[in-house]
Amino acid sequence: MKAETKPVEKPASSSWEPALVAFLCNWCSYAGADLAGSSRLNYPPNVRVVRVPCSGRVNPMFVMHCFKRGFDGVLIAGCHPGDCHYAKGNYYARRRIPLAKDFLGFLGIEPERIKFDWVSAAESGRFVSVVRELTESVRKLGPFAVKARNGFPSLPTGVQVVNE
Amino acid sequence: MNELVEAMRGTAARLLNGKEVALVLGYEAGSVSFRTAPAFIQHAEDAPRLVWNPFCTNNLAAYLPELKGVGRIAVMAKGCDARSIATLIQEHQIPREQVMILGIPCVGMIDVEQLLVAGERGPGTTVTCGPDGMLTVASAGGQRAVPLSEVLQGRCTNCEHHVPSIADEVLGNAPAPIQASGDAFGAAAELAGRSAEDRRAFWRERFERCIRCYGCREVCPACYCRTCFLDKPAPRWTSKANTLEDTWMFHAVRAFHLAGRCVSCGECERVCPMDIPLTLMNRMLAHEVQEKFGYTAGLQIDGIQPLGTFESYDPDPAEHA
Repeated sequence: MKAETKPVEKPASSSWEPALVAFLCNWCSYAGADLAGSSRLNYPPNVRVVRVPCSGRVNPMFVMHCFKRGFDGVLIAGCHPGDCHYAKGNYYARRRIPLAKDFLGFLGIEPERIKFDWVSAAESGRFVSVVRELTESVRKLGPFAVKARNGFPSLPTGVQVVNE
Repeated sequence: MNELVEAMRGTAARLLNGKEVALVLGYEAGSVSFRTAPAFIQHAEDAPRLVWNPFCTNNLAAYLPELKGVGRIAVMAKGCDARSIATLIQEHQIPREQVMILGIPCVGMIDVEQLLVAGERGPGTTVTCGPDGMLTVASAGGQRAVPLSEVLQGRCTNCEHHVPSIADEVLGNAPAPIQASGDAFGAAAELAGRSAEDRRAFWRERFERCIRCYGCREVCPACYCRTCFLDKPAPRWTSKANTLEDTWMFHAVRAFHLAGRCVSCGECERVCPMDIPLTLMNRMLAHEVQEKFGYTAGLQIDGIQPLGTFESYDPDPAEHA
């Protein structure tokens, strides 16, 4: 993942749409998303897909980085337990990601903004419903960064202090 | 207290004379009576420099990764320090045989900020510790007595490991352990019970204070990465610019890197010049790790830490049938 991406622009008006990142494992979930596309299934266009070799590749730092750069929600999807291409990558993810989710919750990021689930290469329908669920729950919560003018992240510290 | 100092000096001299160790890490008197400095004793004749009092707060384990290669090192370790050393051994940062843990029964360390008012924190003030747990503060303004138990650091009031459980030798007699009066997870649980917006505002207010001095990272015995993610030019995870989101990223990632590894020695919070409650994050993670994986850091020198392994029966996140 390239760290130097531009933050997503957030229109403050009612035309706001959730901006989501989806980390999809190459072997199952990415193929599942691909199947959804080639099957002409509709799913919200709010996700930006990042293909990763394995859900075990998803460092919790990736998730933190997404929020830091102003995304509203993050999806992490991988092979079902027992189906990992690398035999056990998703088992590591199953410990790390929920812990990171709890921790980010402690820092004030609603747990509904982070979704961690299994999507196999055949489960195009499941991919669609997972993306829909995340999009809808994030839509209910509202924009992360803009709402977070009373939280974080937003303007550089110094600017905020002067404004107050 | 004096017997313990005698034991420390005697043991250090014996180990150095017998060439059992190349270096003894301990504490020596600081520039004022209410500070101590880490002492690096290489010759037996320097052993009398060693002191012990409730101001020996530094976690000396932080020096070990840097001292790899100097030979066997004896370290004076309080309960929390010994747990840090155990974690370092477990993480292969120092071989077990290269470190000799001299356990010191600890009755808790003093929070200097709490003990002394602003005008008193200078060389004109002398603090003496009586054997009865009473401190005498003598300054230009006169003399007063303060019980040790009233000015303990927060981490000490809920400490459960006063006497190191992993030690080659325990010096002195174990004192009557102070009862843990605080709940280690209490403050974090209180915060966790608030709304997400409240929590965000809470941390925003704290992180806005951060001046990015990185004292928390430098003093942390578990923060030994040769190149911290913060210092990596590429990928540049977070900028060194003092913006709220970069500060947030730094603290969030640092705390998460310590998940299942932090022994709550509390040094990060003690050295923080801006009073950011950093250990709240560590305590929350330690609690979660204990709840989820039944693991407490620093109580073993072998085995794999919970985030480096898995069980086939770990709870499953799938919400779909």
